[in-house]
Formats: sequence, C-alpha cells, structure tokens
Amino acid sequence: MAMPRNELKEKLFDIIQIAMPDASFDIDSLTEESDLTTDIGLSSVGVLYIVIAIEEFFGIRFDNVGFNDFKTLGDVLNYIEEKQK
Amino acid sequence: MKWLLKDPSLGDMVRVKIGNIYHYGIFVSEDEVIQFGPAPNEQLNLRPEDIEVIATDIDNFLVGGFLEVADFDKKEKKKNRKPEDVAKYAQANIGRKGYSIIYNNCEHFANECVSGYASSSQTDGLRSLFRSIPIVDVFTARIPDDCKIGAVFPIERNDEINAVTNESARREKYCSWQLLKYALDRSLGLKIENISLSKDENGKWSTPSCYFSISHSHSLLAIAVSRAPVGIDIEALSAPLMPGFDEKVLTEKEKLEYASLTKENKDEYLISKWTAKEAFFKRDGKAAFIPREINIVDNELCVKSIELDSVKYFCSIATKTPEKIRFFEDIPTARFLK
Repeated sequence: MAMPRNELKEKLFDIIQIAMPDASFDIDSLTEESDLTTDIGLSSVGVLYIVIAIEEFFGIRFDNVGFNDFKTLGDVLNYIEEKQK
Repeated sequence: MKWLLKDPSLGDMVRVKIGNIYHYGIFVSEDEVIQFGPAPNEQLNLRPEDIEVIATDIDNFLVGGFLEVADFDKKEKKKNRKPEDVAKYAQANIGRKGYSIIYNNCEHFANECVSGYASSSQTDGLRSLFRSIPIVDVFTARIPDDCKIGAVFPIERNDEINAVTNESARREKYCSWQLLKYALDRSLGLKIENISLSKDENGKWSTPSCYFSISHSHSLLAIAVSRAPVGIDIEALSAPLMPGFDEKVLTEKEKLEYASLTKENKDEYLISKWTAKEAFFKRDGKAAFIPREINIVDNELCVKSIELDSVKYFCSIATKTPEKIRFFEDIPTARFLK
C-alpha cells in the first residue's frame, strides 16, 4: 500500500537528518519547496548521497535519473510517490 | 589500482575532479576522450535520456581540472582488455544512451570499457557510507484499552499471539509486534513481510537484517531498532519495591551507593539499575539473567525518564552508540495499528 505523502515527507526528513547529522540548516524549517542546493546545501555528490539513502530507505530504484532531476524536496517526493504506484 | 598524475596513453582510463565528484573517460588521443555524458556540472540542462556516450577533446573533458590516469597492477592488467581494444570498445559505443546517475554513469562506462565490468566506486562508496551510519531509534506508544487483533507476520508469531489466553497479554503482544513493524519500516526501510524472522530456544525473536528489542510496562510499549546490537527495557515506578530487591539486583559497589541514598531516591535508583541491567542482558544475549553480576557500562547506556498519565517510567537503552539514539515518542495508535 502506498504511503501517504505526509508520512513520505516525514521519512524523507528522517533520512536527511541521518545522512547529514552535521548539517547547518534547521530541519524544522524545511518544506517541499526547499531547494536541495541553496537551502539544504547539497553539492552534486551530496545529491547523489541523498538519492542513494532514499533508495536504501524506501526500497526503490532511481532508474534514469540525472543530477538535475531533483531541484526541491517536493521533486524528490513526487518521484518517490510515482515509484510507489 | 592507483590514480596518478601523468601523461595518458591510448586506452587509458582517466578521470578529473569537478567540485567533489569525479568524471571518468577513456583516453584515445588529445583530440578524443570518450565519456558517458559531459561533466556533471555540464549536465544541468540535460535529461538522462538525452545523455549519451560522446567524444570530446582533452580540454573539454578536463574543464580546467587536473587529469589523473588509472594505474593498474599486474593482476588487474591481466584481466583487462588491451589498451587498443579499450579504445575500440569505447569508440564503438559512441552515441549509446541509457544514462543513470547511480546505475550507469561515466564511471560505470569507463570500467566497462577497460575490464568488461561496469562498476562505480563512487556510488558503491556512498552506499557503503550510508549503510555504516549508526542508527538507534527508540519508539514508544500506548497500548490501547481495546483493539481488534489482526494477523501478523510471520505465521509462527501470529500463532504465538493467538495462543495467549489472557486478553490483555494478547493485546500487548499484538500491539508490540505492530509497533515493531512500523519501527522497522520507519527507521530502516525494512518491510516485516520481506525479512527473515526466527525464534531461538529461549523464545527470543531476531532477524539477520537488523537488531531490535521490545519491552513494555503497564500500558506503555518501547521498541528499539538498530543496525548494531541493542537492548531496551522500560519499567513503571508505580509502587514501592519488595524488600530484598536490592540484594538480588545490585552489585556490591552499587549496594554501597544505594545504602547512602535517602528513602525517596532508593526506589528510583533500583528501578533505573534494573532497567539498565535488563537492557544490557537483552543486548548481549547471555543465557541467564543474573542482575547482581551485571556491571553497567555507563558510556553504552542511555536512561530516559518518561511520564505518562501521572506514572513515571524509566526506559534504559544499551547500545555502543548512545549518542546516536533518536526518540520517537507516543506514536499515535492509528499509525501502527492499521
């Protein structure tokens, strides 16, 4: 059964916290509009790392994705939701 | 294999660091470096389906960076293609598509040209890094006064729960297993239906996929899930403890400390020691639980006090990484009893 979006978001924020324990941003300030690069401060390898972390957590595979596929957390959630269908 | 700063030759695997990511290619000549897609910072306006194997000159490959050349040892060279065959293979794949940042990137392609096997140390390394992060998550939840007992996985656990005749005990076991199911998914992305679960001769359930520990007291459940051994115990401080409890639980050193406490603090001291020793026992999996022989390792213990409905609980968690513990308290019933 597909997870509701608010639970997906909760889980995604968990992953970001686990993967980036020393991050300088405030996790409580993150929203779906948060930009991965400018708000979360992810470099290209950081985006790759989070994508791999999401694969591990959600048990999905990010086939055919490129560096520019995810600009915001909302983009990531959209992809995960789509994969769950 | 090592990476060297040297002049490349025909068929060499080469790479350049752009930002904090490496971009890989196959050197044919100064005018021809074959790579799967342009450098990462040049991919920003490209869809994965637009990315293909291309040939550019060395300056376009390097984009101002320093060229590194793969230096294989004798054993690796024996298994690899000859340099001229590496170059031919790379050239024959110009125009190939199917790019994936994780599964079919420039490093996969370069390794495939050289050895015949597509692999990426960058993505494998990141995956290993993530899998090595210590995770110790603790979930607490209330046991509802009434709930429908459904089926659980695996069937042996289902049968175990259904065999419990006491209704309250059966509800507690069902709810704890459902909270475990929620915790495994939430913390580790594990679906209980997809992991192997088995019971040992002492009746303890475990899985090779992770570690978990379950405890309950009164109407409160506590579950710990982790990638490393973990033990949890929770007890309510609701009534004076029976006389002689200290004799059975405390080490000689602890008895001295206990003797120096005021009456008000004695019960709290005893319960906190009891839960700590139970947590260590559950984590370390010893055959017999003899609390007065267990010495608590302070830097492997976290004790949390929880107050619920005017009842004070002590929750102890034994883990090598107590600083990594995350608490998810009072999980709503609707979240784990679906």
